[in-house]
Amino acid sequence: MSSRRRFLAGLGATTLAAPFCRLLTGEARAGGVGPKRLLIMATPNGTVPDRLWPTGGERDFAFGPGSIWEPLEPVRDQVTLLRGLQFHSATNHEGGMAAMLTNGDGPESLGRSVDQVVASHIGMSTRLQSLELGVQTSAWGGGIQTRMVYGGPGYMLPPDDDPSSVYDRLFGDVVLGDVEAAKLRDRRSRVIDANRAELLDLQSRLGAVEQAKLGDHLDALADMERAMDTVLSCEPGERPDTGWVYDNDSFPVIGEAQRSLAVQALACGVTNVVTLQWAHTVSPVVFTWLGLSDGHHTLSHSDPTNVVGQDNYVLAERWFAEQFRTLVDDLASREDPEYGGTLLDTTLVVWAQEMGDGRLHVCTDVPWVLAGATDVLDGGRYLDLGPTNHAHLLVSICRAFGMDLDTFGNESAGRGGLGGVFA
Amino acid sequence: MSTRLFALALLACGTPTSKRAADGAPDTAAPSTPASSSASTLTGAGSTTDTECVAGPGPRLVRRLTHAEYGASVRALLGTELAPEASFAPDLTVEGYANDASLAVSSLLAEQYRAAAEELAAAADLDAVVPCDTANRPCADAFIGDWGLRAYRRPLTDSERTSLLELYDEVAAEDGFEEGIRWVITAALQSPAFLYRSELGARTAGEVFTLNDWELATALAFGVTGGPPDADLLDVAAGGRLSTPDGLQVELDRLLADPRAPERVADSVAAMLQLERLPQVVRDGSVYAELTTEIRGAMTEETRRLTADVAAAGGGFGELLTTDHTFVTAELATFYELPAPTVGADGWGRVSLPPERAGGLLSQGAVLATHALPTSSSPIHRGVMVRERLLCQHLPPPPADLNISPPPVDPSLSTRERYAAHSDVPECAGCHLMIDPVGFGFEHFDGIGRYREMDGVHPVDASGEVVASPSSDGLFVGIGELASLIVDDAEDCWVRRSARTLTGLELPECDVALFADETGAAGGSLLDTWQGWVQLPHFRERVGGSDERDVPLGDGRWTAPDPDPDLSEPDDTGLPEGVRFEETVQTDWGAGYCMDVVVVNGTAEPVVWSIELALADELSSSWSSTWTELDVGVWRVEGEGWNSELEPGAETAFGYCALR
Repeated sequence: MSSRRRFLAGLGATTLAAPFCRLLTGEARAGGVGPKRLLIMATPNGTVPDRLWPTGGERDFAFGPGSIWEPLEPVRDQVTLLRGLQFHSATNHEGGMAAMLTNGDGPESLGRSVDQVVASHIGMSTRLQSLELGVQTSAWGGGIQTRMVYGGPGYMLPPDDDPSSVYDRLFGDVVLGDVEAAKLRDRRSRVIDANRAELLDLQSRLGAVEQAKLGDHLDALADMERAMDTVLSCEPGERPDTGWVYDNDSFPVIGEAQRSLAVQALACGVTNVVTLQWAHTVSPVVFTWLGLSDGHHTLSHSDPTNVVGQDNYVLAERWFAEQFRTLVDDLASREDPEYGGTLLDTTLVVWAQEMGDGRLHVCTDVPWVLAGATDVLDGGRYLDLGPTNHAHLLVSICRAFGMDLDTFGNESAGRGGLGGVFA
Repeated sequence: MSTRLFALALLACGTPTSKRAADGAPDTAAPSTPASSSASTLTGAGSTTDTECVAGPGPRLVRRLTHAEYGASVRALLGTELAPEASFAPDLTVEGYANDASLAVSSLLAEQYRAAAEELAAAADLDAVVPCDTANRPCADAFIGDWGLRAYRRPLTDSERTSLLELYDEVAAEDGFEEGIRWVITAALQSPAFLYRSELGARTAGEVFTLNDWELATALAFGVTGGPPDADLLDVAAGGRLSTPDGLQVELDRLLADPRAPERVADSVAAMLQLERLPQVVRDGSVYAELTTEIRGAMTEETRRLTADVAAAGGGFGELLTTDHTFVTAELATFYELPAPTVGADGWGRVSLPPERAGGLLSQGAVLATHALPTSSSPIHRGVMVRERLLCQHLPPPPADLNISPPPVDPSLSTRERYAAHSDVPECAGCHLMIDPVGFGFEHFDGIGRYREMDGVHPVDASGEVVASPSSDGLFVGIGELASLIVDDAEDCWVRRSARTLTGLELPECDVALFADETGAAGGSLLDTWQGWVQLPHFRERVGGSDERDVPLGDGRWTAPDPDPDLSEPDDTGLPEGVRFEETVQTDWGAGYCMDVVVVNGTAEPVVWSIELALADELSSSWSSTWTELDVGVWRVEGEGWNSELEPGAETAFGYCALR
């Protein structure tokens, strides 16, 4: 879009002079602050169990040569590998995608995905309550296959697939004078107030379903208001220019840009909760940059007799493991401006998947990886939890952020958290 | 099972649902029904004849503008060329259509609306939109009244008008008239009155609400032209003339003569066939270098032109499926190896296709290239395309535990031979007999839609068969015969898809049936779809709760009826206590259905599970389970080697398909 949009997005960086950060940069972090941020990355189409699971025990595990997780070896002390998670009562691509971060609907999570539940707890003071980033998630439009973040039962929140648009939304790049900025802020505020009044009036004429729909709009207005009242104080970096968002060959470039924005958003205190969704379940993305010519989903169904097909799928999965490793490295290399230590220390990082064995379309033995959150998460471990409903992990994630929750999603998946993962 | 499913199909009648209302939750546990498991489960033919139901009004609602409607609206209001909606977050898409009635405004979209409104207002040519020469407050007030009526598609209320005028006053005091007007525009473009189409009406009897003239004008305009009501239509609405059938008919006929009406048909057909995916489908450059960005764009335009041409000429969906002509540019003709066309000033010309290549939509490059693989054609993708897109029949995804590895390219075998394995393996046959023999009919067209006599060194065999479809069953050779075979079922499907295009809802079966009858009575052409639509009770009426009207927040109620509680009771399964199973309908295409079943070991001991099931229908396939028929229609289902034993707390899933 034009410079006008960047100009407007730049407002937040200049209106208020007070620094957001407590500027503990370089100082030692006070111990035991616990995780302050959540970053969830997800990759699709399941795995190849024979080519994934390490050998050995909890601490002395070893990645097989050429195995999917082998690229994590350089960060093995930072990651916790989870085996044996199952999604309660979910199966296949769509079931897995819908359940992955929600475990269905329930009285405590209210149909929301875990990032949104956590954001409702730790996202209220930041410019954005949460940030949803995607890498070629939406060429098929929104739907159960292409969405993983839920703001309520059946209410899917779209990720932004365009790094330059994300950048404009987060940072902008043009500075306004204080008078102009204040004027603009007042007028925007007026517009929001007027729209809120109209929405409330309209809402009062409607039935329950439609009231909920307009309730989402009202929530969005509140988010916009809060965004106007908070500022960031950091160098936003270069505006990415990755071209057409659905160009298959640009998948790695877009992914790199979104990953950088995810880290930058956390470092600048724009938000405390980020999701980064790579493609979507059943995605046909072709890993041409690895020399492959079949789609990711097609390759996921290669049976063991199709040696080339399965090898190629493992190559693609290893590439995703490299992306996770890079994400961990990036967070480890950034100081936490607010709490000290590194961003990895204060961020709980989750690599989620929607299925276990992709060829079988099952949501059992689904491989998830945790990293960071060093106050509560001891890295360098390979834990076989199974079979355990992943609802317990979702409960534990919320509890790690200080939430008092006993179930997540569908209650019949069981109560309580997961022992032995978080301190 | 069939009894239960039958009852559930009845339930779908009388409950128009948006995706959100239908789905409620991404709940993976509750037993769901064909009516509620997904928006894709309106059963195909058959269920309407089983039931006595009466078409009725839809729920009162507000429908957020689709991104396309937003774009058409701002361009009509401001005369701008800008298209900010192109970068809006993609909306929920159901059956290819991004107009579900549940669409809401997320935080991301709210910010995008704001950025777009500010950008549009800043760029607006005020000379063109402001109705008076004098830059003063009365002029601003007149602008708010006149332009506001067009933006909100109804006269502004006093409070709306006051609010905008106050905003104008404040801004104008600081920055002058023009800036004041620009902020009025900025605010109006973010107002719910602009962003949502009202389908609320006023109570006329009991729970029935009748839409007012402004609401009818809005429905008519967006329905037929994809854009907001024009000045003439607003005048007619102001005169109250749309409330009468005759008055409405005059305006409908006027709009149907607008070139945008056939264009709108083209939009709908493109959505039906998922052609928006064509720009980004991946083709291996070493095999299909010819499928350039330009050719993809030309293919999309080709299908648009063909559809609009058939619609404008009074053709029906059947003609669109079977016609033997198309439109090409010189470049596209070269690509297809067709004779050079006689082109008009716009570079396009109409050509007749030789019989072996004629098949209307089925021979369109856009359709064929969208539904293929990176390095080859794909009988499966094209067979599924016919079943799901053109016949509205939903097939299950490939089940678990089968070798569903796609056949590797093998030069010694034709594509057809490579895929034959799917239909030879018993576990695959249940579904693939419905898919592959349809897809084989397309084998004269390669992965990018070019005609071929040879598939590598193998002469093409394009013979196929349609089975288990209401009125399309039969043998055929090539797409021409396939098109003729499926034409009736495809026309039914078109009506079903049109219902979604026009209402954003899954209409109950009885409404769809009435829609089909009324469209047929009007002549049955593509343009007659709208004639059928305006005859539906749904067009003029809505239902709302008894206290739903200008009531305080929280008092309104219109909710979908609960599913029959009896239907969520599991069958007597003979399972040991603590072991339970949960069933969900995976898909239901009328002639058959597939079920997912999750087995949960809730005991403290490992168990080897087995279930006894009564199944009145014919089992066609199963996965992750072995089935033994104990008596007629009574089956024992057990796990396979890998999932027969469940540890405490463990779950597994199996599934099956059956034909009615």
